[in-house]
Amino acid sequence: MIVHVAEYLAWIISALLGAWMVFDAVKVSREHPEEFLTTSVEGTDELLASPAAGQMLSPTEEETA
Amino acid sequence: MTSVASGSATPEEVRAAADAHAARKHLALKKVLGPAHIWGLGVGIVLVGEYMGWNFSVQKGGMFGALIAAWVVGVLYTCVAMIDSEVTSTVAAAGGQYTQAKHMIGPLMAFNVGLFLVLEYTMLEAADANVVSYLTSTIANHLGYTGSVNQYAFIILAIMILAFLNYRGVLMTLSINLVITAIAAIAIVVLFVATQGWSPDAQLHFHGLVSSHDNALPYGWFGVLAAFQFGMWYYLGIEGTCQAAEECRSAARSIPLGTMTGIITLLMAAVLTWYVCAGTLPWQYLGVSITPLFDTALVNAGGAVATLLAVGTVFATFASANGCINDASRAWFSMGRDNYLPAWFGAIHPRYRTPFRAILFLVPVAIAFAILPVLLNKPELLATVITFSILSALLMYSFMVPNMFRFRKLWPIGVLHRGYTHPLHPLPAITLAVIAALVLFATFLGYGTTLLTLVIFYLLASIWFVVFRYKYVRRGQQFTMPWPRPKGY
Amino acid sequence: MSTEAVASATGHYVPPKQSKRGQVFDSVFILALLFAVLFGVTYYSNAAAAPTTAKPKPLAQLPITQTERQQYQRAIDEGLVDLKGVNDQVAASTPKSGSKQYPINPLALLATFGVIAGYLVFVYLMSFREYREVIRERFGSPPGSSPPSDGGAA
Repeated sequence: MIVHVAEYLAWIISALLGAWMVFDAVKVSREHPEEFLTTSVEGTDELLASPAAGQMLSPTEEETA
Repeated sequence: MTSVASGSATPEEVRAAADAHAARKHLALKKVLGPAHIWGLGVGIVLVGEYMGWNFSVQKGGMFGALIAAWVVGVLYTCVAMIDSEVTSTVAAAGGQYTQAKHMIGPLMAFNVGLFLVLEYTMLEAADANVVSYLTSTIANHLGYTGSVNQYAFIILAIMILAFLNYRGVLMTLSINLVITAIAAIAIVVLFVATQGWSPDAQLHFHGLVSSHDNALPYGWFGVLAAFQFGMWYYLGIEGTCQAAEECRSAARSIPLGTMTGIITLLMAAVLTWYVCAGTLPWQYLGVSITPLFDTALVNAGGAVATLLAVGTVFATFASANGCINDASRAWFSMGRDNYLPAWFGAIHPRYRTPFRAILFLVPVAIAFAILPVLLNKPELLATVITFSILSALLMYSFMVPNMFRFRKLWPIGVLHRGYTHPLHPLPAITLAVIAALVLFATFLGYGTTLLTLVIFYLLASIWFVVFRYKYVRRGQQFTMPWPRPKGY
Repeated sequence: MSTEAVASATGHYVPPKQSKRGQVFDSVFILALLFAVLFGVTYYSNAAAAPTTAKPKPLAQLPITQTERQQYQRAIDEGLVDLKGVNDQVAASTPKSGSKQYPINPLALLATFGVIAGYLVFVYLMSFREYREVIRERFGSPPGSSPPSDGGAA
């Protein structure tokens, strides 16, 4: 009996977590332009050369951040 | 991006640059991790191998076969940890070995290494989720429940909870990992104490269980060789520490420190585990047991110790799956960022600063592999899933050999600031090459078809990459490290 | 679907931008390939040893040591395994007399390591070739050489 309850709970919690993540991912993707979400650059060391990274942003993306 | 930065960057310079960088409006992974998190990530992924999986080596080669495998494969992983520590203390990127391959060997190798990483960790995660569900039904049965438990529900729940944790931020994810991994590691020591391990004849029974040819070396030296395949399980995943490099406060310090203390912990845990299990369970049983440490505690100590080991098993399994989600998603994300995979995956969550799309995308993949053994009603498929994971890892270790040679050759010591320089080069690289070849042969003995098919998969994927995918990759820009021109190019 | 790749004024390779559809297709493709191969091998390579169907023998009659018997009894008492399970395990782990435990098929060995060798050669040669291009674009032409000459200098 308790096992069945646990099973149902497991399904419900899984569904909720999954739904929330999908919902949040879609929301974030709508709220921010793709170019902003993918602005990250690799590594720590290349921060020394960060002017190049900065150039990748257009003014509009600066505003949304 | 033509700026060629000065050859070496000290940690102070990097930190100063990071501060200046933070003012910029531009997404990056969160730099919050310290050496303890790296230890938790590395050991956390692996420690489940002590709680389950390593003991299949007993089935392959007997009790001594498993012990020799623990030693020899331990040497392999010590080499892996040394090489990784040196290279990653310099290449601080989320892709780990993938990024190393990109800078040292070339794009196609990098694509392959990225796939090795994703497969290794996703398969391992699937195996972990399987064990979680197995444990759930075992606990239910111990509580007196006689019916069958729906395993899908708990496999999927485990993966969902961990994916959610990963989605929401790396600090919380790896802090939890650190705590549950530490508890699982301490549980093994407690078991050693509870079985009076210092006095081999008190509660352990080496005389009857590990004394004859039939149980110590039933298949001779060939069996020992065959055991190497599952001996990998004692340490598989320690190299995953590299994947967190981009999220460390100081990668040059945290990665070597966390990785080295990690491999030391694992070497001790491996022999302790062998010792208590071999002194308690008949080898015929140990070789097929799903939860050898828990079974040992149940047979030899019972009561609170058995409960602790049950908790340890659950924690180790969760820690492993958790670390796997973390690492697989970083590799997938890094490949997306470079356009090796669709650029869509290279996104970072603006609030949680995690590679959220990569995390989300790999959830159904892991679930698919996890429910396969249940769906087909073949529990022994767990061993096959493990083999997939091991083989991908092995192919990656074989890549680390030329990687190391080229790293020292293209950027000799002194040219780059290395957070850690490993001693005795090229001995570790050569040792790694020899043992990796032996383990590859061992895998052929047990899973020849799987080995062949997996290599064919990587070959097909490579051809696909060359023909259809590489055209989307920016050539010069993927070389991201501010290093001088490689020597000889 | 995608614009053609062009070379910029500086001679750098400018990749085409991949369309949404192309991105979805590529994600699905690499996964489909993975699942096709791995599910296939999972079905194919898993001929597990069939459990013995004979009536299980008591522990005392099994060819195991006295200590193994005693520890097996404790495992049975703890509910870890039943007598039939013990029989299966002992039968499965008794070395087959006459035949080798790990037979090696020379042809399969040759084929497997041949494929591995071929795979590695392909990956390394191709990688080194692509690597030269990366370095040339990132750092310019090699010092002391004429301007970049295209045509797969490997």
